[in-house]
Amino acid sequence: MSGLNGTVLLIAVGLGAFWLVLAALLVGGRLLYDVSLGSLRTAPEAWPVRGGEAVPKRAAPALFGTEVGTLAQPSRPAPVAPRVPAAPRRKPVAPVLPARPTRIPTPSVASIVTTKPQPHRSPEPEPVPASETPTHVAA
Amino acid sequence: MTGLREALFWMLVLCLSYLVLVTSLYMLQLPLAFAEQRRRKREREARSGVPVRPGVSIVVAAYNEEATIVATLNACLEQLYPRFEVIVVNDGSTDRMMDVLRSRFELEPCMWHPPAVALETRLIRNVYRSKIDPRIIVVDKANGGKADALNCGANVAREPYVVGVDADTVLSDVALARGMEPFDDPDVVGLTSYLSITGSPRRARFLRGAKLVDRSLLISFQHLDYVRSFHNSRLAWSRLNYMLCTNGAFQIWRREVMIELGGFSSDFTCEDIEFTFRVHEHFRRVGLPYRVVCIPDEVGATEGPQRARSLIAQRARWQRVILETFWHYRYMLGRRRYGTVGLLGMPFYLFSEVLAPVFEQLAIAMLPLAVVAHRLSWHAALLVMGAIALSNGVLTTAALAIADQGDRSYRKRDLARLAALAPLELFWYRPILTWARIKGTWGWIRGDRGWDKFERNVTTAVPPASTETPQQSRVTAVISA
Repeated sequence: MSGLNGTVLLIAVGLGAFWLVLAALLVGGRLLYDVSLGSLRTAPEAWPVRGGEAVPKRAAPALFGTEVGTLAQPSRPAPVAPRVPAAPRRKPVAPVLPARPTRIPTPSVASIVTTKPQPHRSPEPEPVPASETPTHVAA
Repeated sequence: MTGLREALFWMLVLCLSYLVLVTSLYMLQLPLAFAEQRRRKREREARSGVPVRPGVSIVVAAYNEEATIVATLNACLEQLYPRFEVIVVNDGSTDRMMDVLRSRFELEPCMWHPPAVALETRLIRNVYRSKIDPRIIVVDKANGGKADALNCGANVAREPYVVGVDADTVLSDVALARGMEPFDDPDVVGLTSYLSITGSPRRARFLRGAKLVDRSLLISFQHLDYVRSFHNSRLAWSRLNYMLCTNGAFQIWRREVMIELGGFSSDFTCEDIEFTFRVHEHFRRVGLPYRVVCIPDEVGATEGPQRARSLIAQRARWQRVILETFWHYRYMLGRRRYGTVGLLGMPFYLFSEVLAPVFEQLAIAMLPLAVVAHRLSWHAALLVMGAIALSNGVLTTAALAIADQGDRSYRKRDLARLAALAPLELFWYRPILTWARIKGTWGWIRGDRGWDKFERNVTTAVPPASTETPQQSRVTAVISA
């Protein structure tokens, strides 16, 4: 039985040492990699991302056109905040006729002049508490 | 009495031999996985010029996912990929998911004509297109399960590649760009990739510069489990061309292959493993060249159960589908006709997945029994337990090293923490898994087919509103750097 104990002990110690070396290589290797970039990464989450990999601040390249070629940009922007209109669209306005003499009142001209471009929705998003469902969703 | 003690001892020896065998097989996979990871990295670096990328249809099968669907869809739309569409299949949800989609993406009904060759699915009620972004198509159909929903999405898809994405999965913006790279090889018909696991995929998405590992022990252990499963097993399987299990949360298939093989099957609890087996079976049988590959890139984050009970339900389901699939395709085991799938993949699956719950449970139970029966000293039992724990630790830490080699985006403190947790898995996480596997095996014997969807960790329906488009926020990041 002591032979069995000795063998198992040997295996356990060997595995323990192997695991420790691996863990040290993992963390130490990563530390060396970060140092080799020229600066120690302390808050990589604040760094720009290129192709899923954080890039050092001193050499932040342009994001588009480098990673997946010139095809990198999507065909159109994604609606992350669809409640915010991209740009207020203007209502179609009839062509403005040349002004007539002021003595002759022309109601049609007046109606054109008073027609101002109106955005479809408010350009400012309403603040939505994270815990609440906005009313338009409920509707 | 002596006979019983002897039987107990030899039973223990058998169980430990099994564990040594399985651990050795996993150890043998490590260099293969490492080589595959290096190969993918080399291939990427060697690529030059502007790649020609085919169109892709992302299919999101969603059932009662009002809490997560908007975040999932936004992540899909952020893809840095030239041509894709996103098809959300509402599989007869009973919650407010359709209302959320309607109001968020301003859906309007549109015409859709079924293709000449289509997969059979449940009734489609309506097809909508977004007024905000015409790439979004929403299909409202009667409930038929995930496989049925994915088949429906494949019918609606107009592009030659179909990406199946779970509704609780948030893709990274390079997911498609990375995932489509191996399809440069015309033999590749299917692909899966590593997904990180988190309690809240949205948080992982917003802080994407570094991999954030949840502090929760249960999520951390699941994270390690995923890392080991992908960066040890699946990469090695991919290297030897017997990648037996694509991940349902992110799987890419050639649409024509899906159609030809009849799509995903609703006869199984889960669709992903079975379809992968079917693809292998078909191509090996007809003798056509093909590959189903796994890539090491992290293409997103998926939500993991935060409670042991939910985890048990999920893993029991996985065990059940493994058994269902293995049993269905048992004739491939050991057959030369099926190449590495029959000669290596199936036997490995048998040892590591099918028989695991029996032997693992027996080994854990035998050790204290052998001590009580005075057939093993208590310090020998402790040493054996320690050796098993450390062998797990070695495997997991090596897989972690392979994962970190890929993108170097783990934080160092997370790496140290995960490496320290690795050997402890045996005492805290494995018992949960073992119980789940036993439960799953019992469910399979009883013929259960339930899904047991776990309760989502995220409870709010609307993610924090952002006033920037993704492009704006990324450009801002560069400028501020």
